[in-house]
Amino acid sequence: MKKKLLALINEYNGNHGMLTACQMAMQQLYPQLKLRWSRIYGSRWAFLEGNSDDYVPLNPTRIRINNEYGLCIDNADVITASELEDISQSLKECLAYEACRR
Amino acid sequence: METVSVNEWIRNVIKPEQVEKYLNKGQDFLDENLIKQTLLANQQPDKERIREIIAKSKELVRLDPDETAALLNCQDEELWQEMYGAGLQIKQNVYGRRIVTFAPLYISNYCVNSCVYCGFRTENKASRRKQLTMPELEEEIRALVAKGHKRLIMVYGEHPSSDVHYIAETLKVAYSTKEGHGEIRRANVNAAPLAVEDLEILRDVGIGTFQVFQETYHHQTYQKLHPRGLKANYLWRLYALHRAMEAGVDDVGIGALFGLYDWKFEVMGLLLHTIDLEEKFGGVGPHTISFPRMEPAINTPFAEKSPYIVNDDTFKKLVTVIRLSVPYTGMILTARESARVRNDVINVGCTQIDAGSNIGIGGYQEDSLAYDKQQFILGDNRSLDEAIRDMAKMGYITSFCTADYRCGRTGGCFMGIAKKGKIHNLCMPNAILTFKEYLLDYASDETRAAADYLINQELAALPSDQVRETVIKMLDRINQGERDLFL
Repeated sequence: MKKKLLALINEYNGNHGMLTACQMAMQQLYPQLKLRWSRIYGSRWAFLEGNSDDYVPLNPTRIRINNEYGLCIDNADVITASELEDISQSLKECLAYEACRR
Repeated sequence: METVSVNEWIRNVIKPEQVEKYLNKGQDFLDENLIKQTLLANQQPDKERIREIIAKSKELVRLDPDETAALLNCQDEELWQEMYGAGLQIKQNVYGRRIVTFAPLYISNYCVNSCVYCGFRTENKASRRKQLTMPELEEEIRALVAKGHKRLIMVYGEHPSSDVHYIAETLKVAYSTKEGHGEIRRANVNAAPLAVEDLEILRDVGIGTFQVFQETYHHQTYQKLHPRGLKANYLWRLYALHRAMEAGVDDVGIGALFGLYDWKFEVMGLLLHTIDLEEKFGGVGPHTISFPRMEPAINTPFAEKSPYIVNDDTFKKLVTVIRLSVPYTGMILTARESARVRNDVINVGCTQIDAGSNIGIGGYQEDSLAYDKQQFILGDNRSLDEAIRDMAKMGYITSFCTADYRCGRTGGCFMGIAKKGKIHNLCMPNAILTFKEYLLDYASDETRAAADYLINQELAALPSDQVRETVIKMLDRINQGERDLFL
């Protein structure tokens, strides 16, 4: 699954910024996940975009992707722990490179 | 020499181009003629119209200026009673039976301004000046955390010594200071209007809400009451929160000081401010609205002789109209008001209060009241514990929740949920969790006995069994010693 996610991110990254590419790939691969992408400022995670809406998180998970970006998954219980780990690692790899480029 | 350097500082702070870009064809959004004409055109609203407007408000739709003007001009006491009830209903539908609680923390009272109603004005020789050092601030934070506080509004005089770098340092201290089980989890700021690049510095250190109150929206009154200093520039202040939004500080708080000018005009000003923010920032208006009343201050006679002083009855009405006009926005009722007034007015739709407040610089650590170090004199001196107990007796659960801001529900995300009336589904579980922490760690036996029932009551009212089960499991973990759990 990690390979598939990375391939999709690379594909979308051809026409979009890396963060948008990550979001599009995640939405395609895991449409059931409730996501909020955030820009991290200290303890403030400022909303960028997402599809979580007013969903009440029963199993909220925060992934600090790098020093700048974070992802909140409100229903991480609908995927396996290893899928969650794959997502976390893939996003960290992709966006670590993005952070270096800035 | 000092005058020259202060003037230079003011010239450096103000960036005219950061105001001009937000003007509408060269004019600011505060169209006084529109306000006056709208108030005149809606002078004698009939019952049917008022009830239609109340119905619109209950649908959580922001009112238009002519509708707010009609409510402001209502003379029928029976309709006012309906409006009070609607205010409470709206608040409970959007936010639930919870009251978010915070503490004001005054950091510095050095000020270059000459606001005639304020105890901190530069000419007031009776005011003892003080600016906290970082070690002193840390002690203040420890004293607040030891009482159970999790949220602050940090207040700064407008002076070169409390510039953006000083404010950023104080925020870092606020977030890094721990005491026992607790810490400050959200630090909001009330300070001078700043430029976009300075606001970005505060954004980067994790500011909560940035508050700037216009005090009065009436141009001529504003100039008269703010004759000198940074605050003399009406437009720099009026667009302070537009700049904050531009800088990425997407939770902003507006406010007016009631007692400076006509109360109906000021409510209309708050509405126009809300509308302009919403129009310019994709539907995202203020996170909170404040409506302090002018209070006595040491050596400040204006505060007691203004012709526009608002009495308790009118105050309740204006708070109600703000609630109905902007049904989805947080509303802050401060300890300027007496406990009696607060216990009454909270029931027309307020969402946040401060409690256990001390507005003297260094006041928490000293645990003293020093009027010569205060901006004004507080009306409600109840401790946090007493205020929470009183709220509990009224059926309100006190919330110290700071989850939204720490998990990406800010700005447009928060506002979108609030406008749908769904924010309570998220906030109530977190209110229960933070209230449990308070009861375990800080409450007196008396408060614990009076307030414990709220946990079960609000658990029972949660929107689904799944959410309830999740919260119950988290409460168990809190009982076992874990802290800072949130959804």
